[in-house]
Amino acid sequence: MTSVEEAEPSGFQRVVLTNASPYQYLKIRLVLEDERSRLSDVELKSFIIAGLKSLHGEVGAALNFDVLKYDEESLTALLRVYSRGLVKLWSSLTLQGFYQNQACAFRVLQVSRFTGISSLEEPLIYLLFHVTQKKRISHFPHYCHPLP
Amino acid sequence: MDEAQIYTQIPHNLVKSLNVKPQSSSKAAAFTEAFLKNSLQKPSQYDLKDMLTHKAVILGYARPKKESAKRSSKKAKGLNARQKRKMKIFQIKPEHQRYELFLPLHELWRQYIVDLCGGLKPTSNPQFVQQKLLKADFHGAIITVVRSKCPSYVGTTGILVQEFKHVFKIITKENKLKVIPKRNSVFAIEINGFVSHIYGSKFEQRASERSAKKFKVRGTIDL
Amino acid sequence: MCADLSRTPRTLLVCDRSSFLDHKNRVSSQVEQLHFIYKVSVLLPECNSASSSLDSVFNSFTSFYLIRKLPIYELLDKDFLQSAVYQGSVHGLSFRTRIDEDNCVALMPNGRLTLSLDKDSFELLGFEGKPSRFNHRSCSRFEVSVDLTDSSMAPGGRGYLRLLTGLKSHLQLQTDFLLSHHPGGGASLQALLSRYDWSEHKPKVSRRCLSNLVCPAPRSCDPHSLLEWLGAVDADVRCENSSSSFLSSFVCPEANTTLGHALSVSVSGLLLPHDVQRLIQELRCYLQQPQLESWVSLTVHGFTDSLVSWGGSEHGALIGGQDFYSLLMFHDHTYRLYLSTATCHTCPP
Repeated sequence: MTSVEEAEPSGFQRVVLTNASPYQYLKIRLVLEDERSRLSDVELKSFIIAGLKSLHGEVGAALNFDVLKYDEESLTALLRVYSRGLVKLWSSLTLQGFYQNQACAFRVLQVSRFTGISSLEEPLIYLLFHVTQKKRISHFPHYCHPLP
Repeated sequence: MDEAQIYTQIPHNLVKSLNVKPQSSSKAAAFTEAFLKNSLQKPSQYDLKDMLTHKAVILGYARPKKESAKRSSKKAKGLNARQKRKMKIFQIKPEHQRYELFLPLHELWRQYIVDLCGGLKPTSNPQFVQQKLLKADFHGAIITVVRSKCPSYVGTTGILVQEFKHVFKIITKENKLKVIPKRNSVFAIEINGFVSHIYGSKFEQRASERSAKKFKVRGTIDL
Repeated sequence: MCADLSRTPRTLLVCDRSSFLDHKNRVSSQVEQLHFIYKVSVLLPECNSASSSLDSVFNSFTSFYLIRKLPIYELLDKDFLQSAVYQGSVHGLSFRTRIDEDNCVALMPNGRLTLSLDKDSFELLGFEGKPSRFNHRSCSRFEVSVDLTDSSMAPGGRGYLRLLTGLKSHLQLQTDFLLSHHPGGGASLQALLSRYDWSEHKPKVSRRCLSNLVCPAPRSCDPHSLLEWLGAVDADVRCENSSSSFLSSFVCPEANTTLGHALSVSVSGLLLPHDVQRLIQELRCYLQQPQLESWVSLTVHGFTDSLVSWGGSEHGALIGGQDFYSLLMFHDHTYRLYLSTATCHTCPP
């Protein structure tokens, strides 16, 4: 965590914060084989925790994350997780394949580094034109490996 | 004919008309011996008396020795690569680098491919045509670079003048001789409506060696 | 392995603190730098309904055009260059194209045409470009960027002809395209529009009245917490949680006051920086009225799948983040500007 400060007598001040963001935000959608089945928010969170536990064990299950917003109709949720837990959470979402014996998949629609939740809103322009959003393959994050 | 008849004297009535003199048998034997001595190449090797008791004698003819093989190897030697380079045998002189000069070659190539593919009608099986083209010679074809890792090669088109192991030399309509590496490019060849794409990276052989090469079938090829 | 898992990419947040009265303030130039804006949201505390002058600004955002299946070589059309690109500024962005998997095109107001192409398309195009900065291991994306106002790109020039044949015959690139023009509007684009299937769109304005909003002190709050709170308000996330609740432990950071009313207005579409400038001016006028809370916030989001970030630098979606900035304006003409960008990107201006 570093910050660079440039203060000038004229009152202009610029602070650059690098790596200071505590949280990461994910927008995810759960796709179920049976499109009519619905989950409550509590069920969704339990399901994600179960996935964390199966991949990362008890330590993974203890990972703190928040379900900030959940829309039961579209099975879309906004998650907030501590930055250091993002890769664990994302990987467990990607590998989650079954919900109560039916095939399922999490689509990671957007991941935001630290910009706050606002930018995670469904891009309204898509709604504006009544576009059926193309399902995006959830990409496993690339930065598991140190970037050059 | 009997042997005895050969040794008989010439009849008297013939002596007159042929104007030959009959020889005595001793004289004839001496003549034969002298004749053999002259005709045989290395008479010292042979015992003439012994030879005459045998029937087969080769007269005045020597079996050709294996000199011809020697001569042909001398011929193949010809020029070595350095001499060829020095004489610029494989370089096209600037005054000959004209597109229209190579048009007849292109016509020739078209005929050759049409013959090779047995008529090349629109109904021909593309796979069959491709199989033939794989082994064919491309000198004279009009080739176009359709894909390349280097963007400046894309779109270059012209008559293929020379094919080497790693490069194509083509002459463009602007009378420019261009050298295009085969690696990392895809070429298109059009003939009578059939367009074939050649992945240059898989084509890095001399034309003569390619005809014997077996190409593997691959699902996808990347540049 | 564990060390790798907790590794997170570099993040960058720039916080500027200055005053509009300060001659050194660069707000207007910074606003101009973000070319492709899809959403502007404004939070007006202690406000039931926006004043008529403010409302008129919200409603007068320049409309934009959607062209379906536009062949990209049409952007090099001589008449289009004459009537639109050379005169004023054109904002054009390919629509419904994903920055990580599709070919994307952007036409920037300074006349720069940028294409972000996958490897196969780049090899077909045959025009000079450079590998994308966001390649992972193998080189799989390329960026082609040309300045249409440059002399070599003038109609008939060498570079122009090469790009034109490349887009016309080698790589027939076709995408849905969003287009807007300032100051000419639709008139200067009409020639191009008439040839294709197009539709005009007004930016969509939505208003939301909020009541009993718990609010942090904007001047003293930590930037990250403040941005998070602003985002939560905009996304309508409840913050009445306790730290022990199962679902979410999100609470208002450094809760300070409770606002009786607040108005949240957002405009979305392909918006022009010029209109944002007007909105900022109008908000400054609004702040001069006597009222209880003396601040407003304005947040501007860039297109997620835009291929350019701040200025003209390259934008990649795979490595996260959107470009956005939040401007917090106060009664006494001072402001806080929070500029953010995705990882690996260059520092915002």
